[in-house]
Amino acid sequence: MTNDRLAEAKAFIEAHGAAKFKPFAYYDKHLDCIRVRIRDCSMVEIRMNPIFTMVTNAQSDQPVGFNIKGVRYLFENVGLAPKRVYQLTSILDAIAKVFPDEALQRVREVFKEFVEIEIDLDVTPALN
Amino acid sequence: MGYDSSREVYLVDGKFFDRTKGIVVDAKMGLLSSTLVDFNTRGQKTEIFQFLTIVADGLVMTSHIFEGLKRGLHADGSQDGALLKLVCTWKCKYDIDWTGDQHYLGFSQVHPPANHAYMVIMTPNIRHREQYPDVACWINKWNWVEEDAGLAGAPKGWIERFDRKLWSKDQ
Repeated sequence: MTNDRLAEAKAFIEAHGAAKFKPFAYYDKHLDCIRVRIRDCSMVEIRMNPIFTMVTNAQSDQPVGFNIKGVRYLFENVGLAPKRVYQLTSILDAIAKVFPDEALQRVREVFKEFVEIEIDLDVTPALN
Repeated sequence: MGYDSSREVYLVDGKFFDRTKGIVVDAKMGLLSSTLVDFNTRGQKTEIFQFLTIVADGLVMTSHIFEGLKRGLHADGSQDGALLKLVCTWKCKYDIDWTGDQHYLGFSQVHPPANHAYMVIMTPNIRHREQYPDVACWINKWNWVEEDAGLAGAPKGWIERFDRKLWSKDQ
């Protein structure tokens, strides 16, 4: 059964063109969170606090990303506009002014090479 | 099994808590093909592979169903979007990851991470029931989580993370 499923996944990816992975950040409107990923791999999500989730490689435990949760509520509290292009660092800076804690410091330290990633944020409600 | 380009929605067998009857029933969970296309555009092959293997085959083996994410969440036009979310978890016996095996774009079955459960977050299909009557819930997210030491197959800290546990298979 697994090989059939693997074949289906392969067929899907090839039908749409196997895009090369590069680090990104995007807004998941269904779960109202920003997802930052620096590697394509099997992942474990580890809750750090109500705002941050660390994402690690399931096989090696290396950090490969993080999530910022409750974005619309968070943006209202830190005074960020809900619809514009941001650099990740500016979002983290805004959070630091209102919710500075160890989780934020750890995220900044671990992902310091990627804080200039841009995210085109449109924090409008999802339809489903 | 091949790729069907006409397929708009992937349907996965899963478990759904029927509130009207107060029991868990077998149901179909849906994911729009366009969502997988978005993953592909970002180069997230692992998540595509894991959806079409671990989730497709494993969601029906759900061990626990939780309701409500304990955090502020705007979704589905509601500030209380977190309350609507359902979380299914189970102890998956394998992982799918990149190994370099050339048969399937480098992906193959590997050992699961020790002391972890697999988690799927879903939204009940309320607003689009008429258009998609077969879909009980929309699948939003799938990934590994650390396993709770006291409740096998459940996420670590589930009491703090979710509003309530709706069902466990062994109870």
